[in-house]
Amino acid sequence: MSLTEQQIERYSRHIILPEVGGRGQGKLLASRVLLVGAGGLGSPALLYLAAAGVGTIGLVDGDVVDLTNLQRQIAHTTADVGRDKVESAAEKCRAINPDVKVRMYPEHLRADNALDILKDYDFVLDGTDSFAAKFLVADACHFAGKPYSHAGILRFEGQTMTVIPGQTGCYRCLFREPPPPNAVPSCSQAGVLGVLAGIMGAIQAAEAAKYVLGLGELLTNRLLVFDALKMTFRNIGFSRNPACPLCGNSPSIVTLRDEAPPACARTREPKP
Amino acid sequence: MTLTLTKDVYQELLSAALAAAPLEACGLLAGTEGRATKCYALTNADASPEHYSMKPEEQFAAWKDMRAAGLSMLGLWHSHPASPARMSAEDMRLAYTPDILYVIVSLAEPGRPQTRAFEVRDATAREWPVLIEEYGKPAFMTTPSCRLPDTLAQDIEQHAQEVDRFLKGELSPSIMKSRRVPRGIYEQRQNGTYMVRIRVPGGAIGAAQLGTLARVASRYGGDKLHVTTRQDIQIHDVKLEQTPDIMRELFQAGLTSKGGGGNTARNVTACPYAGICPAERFDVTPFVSAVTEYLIGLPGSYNLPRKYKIAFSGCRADCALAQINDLGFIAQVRDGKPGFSVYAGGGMGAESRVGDRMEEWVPAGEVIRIAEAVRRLFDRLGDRRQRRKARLRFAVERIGADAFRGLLRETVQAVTADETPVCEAQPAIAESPDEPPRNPRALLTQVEGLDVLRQRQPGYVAAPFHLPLGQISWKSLTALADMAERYSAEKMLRTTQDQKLLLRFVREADLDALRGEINSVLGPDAVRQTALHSFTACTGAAICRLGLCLSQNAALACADALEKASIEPSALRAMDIRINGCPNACGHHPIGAIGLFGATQRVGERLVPAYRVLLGARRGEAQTRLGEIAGIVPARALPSALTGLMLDFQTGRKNDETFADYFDRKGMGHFQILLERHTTAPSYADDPAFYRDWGKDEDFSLAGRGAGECGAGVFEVIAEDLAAAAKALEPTEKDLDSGEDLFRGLLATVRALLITRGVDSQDPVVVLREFETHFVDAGLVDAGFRGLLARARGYREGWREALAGRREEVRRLLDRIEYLYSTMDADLRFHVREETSATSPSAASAAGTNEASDRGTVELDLRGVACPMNFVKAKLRLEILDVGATLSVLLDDGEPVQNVPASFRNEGQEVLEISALDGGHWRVVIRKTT
Repeated sequence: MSLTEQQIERYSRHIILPEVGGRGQGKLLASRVLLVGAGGLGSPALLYLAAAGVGTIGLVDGDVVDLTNLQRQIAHTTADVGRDKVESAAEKCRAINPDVKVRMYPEHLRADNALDILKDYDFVLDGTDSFAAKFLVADACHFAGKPYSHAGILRFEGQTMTVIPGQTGCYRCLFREPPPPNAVPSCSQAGVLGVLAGIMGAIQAAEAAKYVLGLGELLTNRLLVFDALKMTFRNIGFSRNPACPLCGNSPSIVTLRDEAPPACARTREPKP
Repeated sequence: MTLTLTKDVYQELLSAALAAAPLEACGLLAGTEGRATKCYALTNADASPEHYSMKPEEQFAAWKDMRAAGLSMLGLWHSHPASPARMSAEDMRLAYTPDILYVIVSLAEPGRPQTRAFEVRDATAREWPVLIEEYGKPAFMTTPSCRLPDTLAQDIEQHAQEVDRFLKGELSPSIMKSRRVPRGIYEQRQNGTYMVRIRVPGGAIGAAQLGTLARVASRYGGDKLHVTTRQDIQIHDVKLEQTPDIMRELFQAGLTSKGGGGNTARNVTACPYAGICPAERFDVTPFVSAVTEYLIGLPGSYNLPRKYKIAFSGCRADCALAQINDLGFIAQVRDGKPGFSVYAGGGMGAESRVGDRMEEWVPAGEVIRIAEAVRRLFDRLGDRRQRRKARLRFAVERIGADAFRGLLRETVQAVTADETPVCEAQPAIAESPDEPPRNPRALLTQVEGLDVLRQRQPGYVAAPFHLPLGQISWKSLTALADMAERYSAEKMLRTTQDQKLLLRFVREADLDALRGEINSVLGPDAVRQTALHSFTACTGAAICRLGLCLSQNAALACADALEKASIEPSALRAMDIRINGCPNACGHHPIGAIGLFGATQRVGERLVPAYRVLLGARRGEAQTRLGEIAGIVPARALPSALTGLMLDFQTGRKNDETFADYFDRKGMGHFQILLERHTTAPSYADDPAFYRDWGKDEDFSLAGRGAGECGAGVFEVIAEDLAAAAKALEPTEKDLDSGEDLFRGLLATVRALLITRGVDSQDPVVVLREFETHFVDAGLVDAGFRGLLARARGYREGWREALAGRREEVRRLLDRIEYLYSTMDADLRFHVREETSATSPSAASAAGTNEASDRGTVELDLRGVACPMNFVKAKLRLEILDVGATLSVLLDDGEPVQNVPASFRNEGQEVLEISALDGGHWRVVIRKTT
């Protein structure tokens, strides 16, 4: 792996790290990371991953930039309102780092395109804003065998976990199925402190980088829960659930579907 | 508008201020047109640290003097010993004389006096700039002179910055050391105190220069200065932060410590009688100056593989030991033209060697080219990896004298093509020099109670003054400098290679007066031949970190014994006893009539400080011979041993023969028998004093010495231990497995290298435990030996059979220890290779490496590259190399060299070398270990 003068300078702070070096930087430059959602969580993640020199960044988002996004979706500016989010985001990636190739998917992830999109990537970031999407990402990554980072934010709290399909506990091990509609409010209903997107999204980017570099301990088999008001992080440990519908001994979910909320549902969302 | 002070006025001003401190000093400045040429230091009638007043009568006298000299009063000065150079309220009140300047000298900052001038008008003070004439420009000596290049002034400022950074913690101690040592600044045994070694080319120093040196010592250093066997003068007990000022003041006087130490071209020495000796062919002094001036300004003189020593002798007697220097010149005349025979590859110390003759005769003008050629060859051939074998003599020994001569001739051609200059000096050829040439020591005669040499210039004599153990107080030095000013027609002095100061060009008629003055200043012993005058001693373990024994104390004890034995002056005068605290030859023991160097003896579990005795040294061109070991004597027995030798010499001597001739006549055997009686130390119970060095109450020990402090002496001790161990393990006719022998042998084996870890204990339990920690746990010795160590413990606790049948195993352990010792470098690290047998795991210790270490070194030039990019690039380069490969990186001074090695160490890579290069750059060599 030979770096140009510019690259050596650009990535010098990475290269200096004993654990990274030129080799590690090479790994980053060769890696491919997919971001599902270029909104609140996706924004900081894609900026940091571009800065880090991730070679290929995929952006999946069917939305356009809206004024209400700008409170927390820092990849987008006022001038971008009305633009496709993936375009706006891609432009910022390239501006930060021309080494990065950005592939835009100006559509939402669905059961019928998920596997196709996922197959070209090494790691996936879930930056979606609905339970349906989160469960889709979880299922799709399971079937595609792609490691991914899940995260969610609401009000003053955030949560995240990392899943290596086949090895660690998965999203559904902990959250069996989406909660009933309206059982858990969305950001537009309950609101969220903007910076939470930054905090959790950056953590997701860190997990992606660690995965690519092979460093440290990933947030597997635990749910990291953050409370901005108390400024506390909590680890809620869990393990692979043999009864998990996705990855358990007798999985009931064997194909991708766009999740519809179940008819009768008990919310199994553990309260942080 | 500026007030200019001449250099002299400024120095007088400072001196007066300093002398009066902590009281205020005051006085007047006179001159013309804003330039003060005269300074009057008047009495401070208040005698107070906070105010001053002048005595009217003194003021009048000063004004009268000014008028007579045609000067006007330019200013009124006083000092502020503890406050800044500002006009205080009281100063302002008292400033009622118009049209003069008020000059204040502040001593508030130690080592940094501040001088400022103010004009006071209408109760307001306005500052005038003060210019000190010629400050920063050195004053040059009159011929024979050595001009110091201007670049040395910048070097001093750079040194000041580095000291500053070091004191702030921004520069590591090891980097600071590598910067200051080539500037002749060494740390003494006591942390935080330093020694400055000032070079004196050919030993020639002007009276005024010496006065300045003494003044600098009085201001910054300890009471005693030391004159070295290389004719340098050392100021001791200074603080590092004072060294920049010391160097600045010395530089103004044309003196420098640059190249006083380190892997540099050192002081060029010459016989101190050059120019006046009845035996010399011509005065070699101008050639000393020429070579010094050339080498001192060359960056390549400061990063050589090791030190580079050059000497000039005026005749075949070779008093300057040209044949035992890296490069030596002996004056010879051919067809009425001055020239030199050239010797190279000599030196004293570990493996002393007499140099080989490279040229029978070269024209005198060639000396600079030859010195430069040898420098280049040394740079190329010196073994930088093995400090103990890096001197030029090892290279010459390795390739052979003939090969070296060939290379030298080629290099001289290259040097000539590079337009290295010819020395232009045209010394007068001596008309009929003494034949055969004799050492001036043999020519001294008593005149007016002083030992003097009658110079080849009729009517003049030279008087040597012995400095006991090479030491002289700055007061005495000042007085001597003053005497030189008045009594020496050349107004100079010479330091000698045997710790004397030589006053030359003294008129015989003045000798009586001179003797009287010497008597009152230096005391009667300076003019009287005492036994101590026959001794030359190194500074010894009291000051020098490498010292084993306290050589100075030993010298005093021996001199005392010789005095008590009433040895005849004629015998003493013929004797040259050189005593060294360790095997390094700073005291020149290999060439002394009797040479002594510090060593140790093992008696049971204890160490006895001792000296090896060398006899049979001889000087002279083509006759030079180094002393050979005649025996070893415990330090406490040295006085009686020496007394025995002297009495024997005194009685058996025929026709005033030299000791060398006496030795040849009697043969080594005679002296071995003489020394035999003194060799064995009594047991500790019988006489514990033998187990303590002279002047010490504690038992002699090597415990607690760190790496770098283990000079050659400690290696000796280890070698002895190993030899003792091997002996104990030899099968004897007795019961082959005598437990006691095995136990002793095993103990000696495991103890041998513990000294390098700072452990020196008698207690077998401690020894076994420490060995296990430092060597077995550290992976230097196979864990399989743990069983043997356990058995040794068991044996000691009474299990008599513990070591039965274990001789082979102990032998294998000894083999391993001997092997480790053989790989030990000067920093006490072991360079262990992968072993095919099961004897040991590859060393995981500080320097463990695999065979892959010889893969060749990759070079990377990162000069001009700032942090952190230099590290980043170096790291990227290293990443693609194999483990064990080495990378040599060139870096800038400052942050690069401070940060990069540390960053690599942080990653677990091994930094093999950090060395200073020309132009202020650095080479850092890294070995990839992970």
